[in-house]
Parts: sequence; C-alpha cells; structure tokens
Amino acid sequence: MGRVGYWLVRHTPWLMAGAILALMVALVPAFSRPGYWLALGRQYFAAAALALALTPIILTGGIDLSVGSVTVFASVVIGALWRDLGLPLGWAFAGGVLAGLLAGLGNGLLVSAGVLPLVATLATRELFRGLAWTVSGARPVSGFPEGAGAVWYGSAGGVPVPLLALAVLFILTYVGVHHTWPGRMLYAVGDNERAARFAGVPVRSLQLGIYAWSGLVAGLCGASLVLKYDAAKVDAEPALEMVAITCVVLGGVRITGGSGHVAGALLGVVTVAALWAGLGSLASTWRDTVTGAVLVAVAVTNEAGARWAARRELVR
Amino acid sequence: MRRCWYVLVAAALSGCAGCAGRAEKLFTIGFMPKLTGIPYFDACRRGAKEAAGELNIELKYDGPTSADSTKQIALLDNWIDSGAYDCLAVACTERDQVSPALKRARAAKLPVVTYDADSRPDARDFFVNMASYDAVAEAMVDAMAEQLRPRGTGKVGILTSSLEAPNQSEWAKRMKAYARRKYPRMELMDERTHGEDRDKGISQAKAMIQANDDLKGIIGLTSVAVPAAAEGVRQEGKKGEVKVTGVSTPKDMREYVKDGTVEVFILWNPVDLGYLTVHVCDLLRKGRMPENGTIEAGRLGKITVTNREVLLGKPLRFTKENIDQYDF
Repeated sequence: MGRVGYWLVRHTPWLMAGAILALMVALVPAFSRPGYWLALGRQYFAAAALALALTPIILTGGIDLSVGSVTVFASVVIGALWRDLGLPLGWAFAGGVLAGLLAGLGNGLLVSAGVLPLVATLATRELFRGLAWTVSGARPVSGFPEGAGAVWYGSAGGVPVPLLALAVLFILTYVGVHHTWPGRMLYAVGDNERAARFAGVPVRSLQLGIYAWSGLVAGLCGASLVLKYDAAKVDAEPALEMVAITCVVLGGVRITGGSGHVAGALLGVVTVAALWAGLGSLASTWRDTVTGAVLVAVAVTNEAGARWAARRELVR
Repeated sequence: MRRCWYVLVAAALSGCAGCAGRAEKLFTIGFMPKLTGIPYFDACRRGAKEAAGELNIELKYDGPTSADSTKQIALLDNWIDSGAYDCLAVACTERDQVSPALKRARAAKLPVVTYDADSRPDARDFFVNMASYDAVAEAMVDAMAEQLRPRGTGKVGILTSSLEAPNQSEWAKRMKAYARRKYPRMELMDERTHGEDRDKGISQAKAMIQANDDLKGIIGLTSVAVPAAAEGVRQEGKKGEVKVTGVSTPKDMREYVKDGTVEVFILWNPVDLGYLTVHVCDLLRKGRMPENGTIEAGRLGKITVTNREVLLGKPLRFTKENIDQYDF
C-alpha cells in the first residue's frame, strides 16, 4: 500500500472523527450554532469526564468497568444522605463524591493485589449497582432545591459551567499523563508490566492511584447526574461505562495499553457526542448501529496500524 | 499529536462554511411522547401529523425508548440546546422531575404545551387534558362495580406504571375516594407498579391473584397495564372470576375483549388528543390562546379552556359491540 496507505491506516481515528464531524455539521442545522457545541459539553459531561478518567487506566492495559455503577452509586448516596439522614445539600454532595473515591480505592486495592482489572471491576460493577439499590431502597429521590440545578445549567462568561469543569479535568489529565514521571510510567506498565516492575516502577501505587482517581471522577459525575436530572435514580444511565470506553477507543487509545494520547480520548468524546447528537435528529434508531460500525472500523485499523508499525521497525 | 487539533479545527470550519445560507424553515413542533413504540402514542402521533398537515407546520416526533424521566430530560435538553424547534409538546413521564427541564425550555423562549400527562402548572403554557381526572377515575370504578357480583362488592387490585406518574397517581387518589363514597363494600388495594413494561405487568397481576384468594378484579391504569392484567388472569385460569378493566387502547385490548376476559374498558380518542395538541401549539404561536374561554380546533369544533387547561372531552366506554369501530 505504500506510504499513503500507511499514513491512512495510522491516522484512522482522526480521519474518522474528521469525516463524522464534517458530515454532521453539513447535515444537521443545529451544529451551525456555536452555542449547541458548547451545550453538548453539558449533555455529555459524564461520558466525557469518565473517558478522561479511564484513559490513564487503559494506557496501563487495565480497564475500569465499574465507573458507571460508581457514578450511580454516588448519586444515590447523595440522595439518601439528603433525604433520609437530613444532611444539608452541600454535605450530601461531599459525601457522595467521597463514596465515589472510596469505591475507586477499593478497585485500586483489588487490582494492585493482582486481580485482573477486567474481573475485579466486572465484580465491583455489579457490587456498586447492588449497593445503590440497597441504599436508595429502590425509591428515587427527587425534589432537590431549585438553586442546585441552576448552577449546573448556568454559564460563566458564555461558557456552560460543566464545560469549564471538563476543561479543568482535561488539563489535569493531559499534564498528568504527558508531562509528569508517573504519566510516563503508565506507558511503561502498559507496554510490559513485568519489565516495568523489574525496572523499579512502583506499579502497585500507580494502579492504586489511577483507580482511586477514576472513582473520584465517577463520584463527581454522580453529583452531576443529581444536578442534571433533579433526581437520584438507580436506573439512570444504564451503560455509562460503555459509552466512556467507546470514546477512549474511538480516540485511538489502544485497549491493550501502552499507546494513545489524552487529546485522542477527547477527540473520541467529541466524535461520539457529534455522532449521537446528529443521529438523534436524523435517524435515532440508527444510533447504536452506526456507533458500532465506526467502532469496528477504528478497532480494526488501529490494530492493523500498530502491527504495520511494529513490522516496519523490525525491518529498519 | 498536533494532527488531531488540525482535524478538529478543519472539520468545524468546513462544516460552518457548508451550512451557511439555508432555506427559510417552517414552524417546527417537537412532539414528545412518554415513550415511543406503543399504540397509544402512535395514535397521538397520527392525530398530530394530521393537524400539522392542515396548518402547514413541521412535526418532529421522537421520545424515550422506555418511560424513564432521565431519558426524557436528556432528549429535552438536546432539543432545547439545538435551537431547531419553535414549540414543544410533551407528555411528561414524571411530573416533578421533568418540570425543571420544561422551565428551561420556557426560559429559552420556547412555548411548552403538555398533553396526556401534565407537568407542574408553572412549567408549561397549556395542558391538553383528554378528560378530567374525576371523569376517568369514576368511569373506571363504575365499570368495575357493575361487573362485580354482588354489585360493587369485593377486593380489587390496582396496576399502575409508577407511583410518580402524573395521571395515574391523580386517578388512583380519586378512585379510592369515589369508591369509598359510592361503593363502601368495594375494597381497593394499594397500587402495584409495572413501569410500562408488559412482562413485569403480567407477573405483578399473577402475584396479586396468587396472594389474594378473594381477589375479584384488577383495574389497570395504563394502556400496558390492562392487557398485562388480562394476560395474567388468563394464565392463572381465572377468566370470569377476576374481572379486568381500566384505561387502554382498542388495539392493545382487542384480543382480550373478543375472548371475553375483559368486558369493558375506558379511553378517550388519542388521535384527537394529538390533533388538538398541535392546534393549541398553533393558536399559541398566533397569540390566540385564551387562559379561559373557548377555542376553535379544526374538525373538533369548539373546545373549552379553563385556567390554562384544554379539555378534549368525556371518556368513552369500549365493549365487544363498538371496539371494531376504532383503529388505534
């Protein structure tokens, strides 16, 4: 295929994202309003934040399937603290975020103790959904004070508050992954965990840290759900973790670890948001089919590209 | 990884260039049911389309795939942010949780008309009600009472979607009060919920029959609950012993009415409900919607408006004799 083919395969996530964005902008009138782009940041806040939190984990070759459950668990904890224990709303929110952090620490302990991340977080995914049912007594909490929702739907200097929060989260993740030494070690662990261990990388503390961080972010997402829906419901957002993982993979982060970029994950988020918002107004029944097809294409070309690159390096 | 920024910027630029200068668009109504894919709301949609055709209005119909307030709010947020709509017509899955979203729509200068199921009154401009809560509640209790032997006597279960569903909770409250007054020997049990899910409804109905030997009837409060209750009765072999009635659509009920599991059920005409809703949106845009008074709504003629509530009419009774006259 030569140089052009190689370039095409290597840059599939970006080309795909570019094509989808251009298509959606051309077909859906709403995208011509800058305000709509900004508002998407609010609509897809939870998916975007979780995608950013998952990126470091996936870079090490791990996965956190429990983020969606932890999110819902945290939101239900907020509801229960506020309704059943009568705590002030601020403390209830702090409690919910703390619950998220503790859940993440639990995941981190399991993984650093040597349980496979897929198995550990598959188990805790069920566990935290179940705990959410127990805590809420299956009764949704609603009727939060109106001021709380106003913060979420408000904007500062024309930019929606959730988008600002996302920007902060992006900068933190970006600097953490690409400009600090623990960030570089993520790649080392993802490439070859055993070799990294022998080279003196503190693999266990690293794992504990990134899983706890994803729990903390999930806790914040739980708070965002309460603000957004004016309710804490156990059955809200049933597949949040899958949306987040989709974003990360679409952004070209390799699911087996060792390769990828935080900006890529963000690109994946924008792609999914544009795809879903666009298909929502064009043909909502096609949403999941198209997402799946795009994901398959990206996954195949990613893998092909990586192998190609490896072979070229050997030849050279 | 500078390339991905290039792609982002290039895509945004090319898109903006491509979409400059579009043709003038029609007045667009976003018409949202509680959930898509059930005959009741399909019938509402049909009436809405009919009125939109008459009035030269564009109608966008979409809704959550299950009756879940979070899905409805997410979709409403997207509609509000998109700026593609001039008016929203919404059947609320839950009154209190959906109301803030509707308020945001009004804050964004979008008129809001609720139909079928209301929000808080301050979250919408008008509510198109199919029949007064009292009329529907009394019609259901009367239909059950006349089937019980001895008349108006026995234990009766209630199957509803959720305890927060706006219409259903209003009906249940009024049914209990009315039964206490008019049929003191009828015992209405606490509501069981099915979440607009047919299979869950069937298992709830069967559980009710199994737990209460002396159960004489089940009243279903949604178009999904009544056929589910009838199916439960049929599977338990209690046809004729446990009477079933409630609000549902002829399409959902035809099978059970034909085989005698259900003798009578209650409904209004959902096609007319959708039709009237779009007419209300149109009058609202023209500034001709009075808070109290009468309006002229196409083929429906004169319709009464009381305190920002538009009343379609009286509930209808469906039996073996008249069910084939209706195709919704």
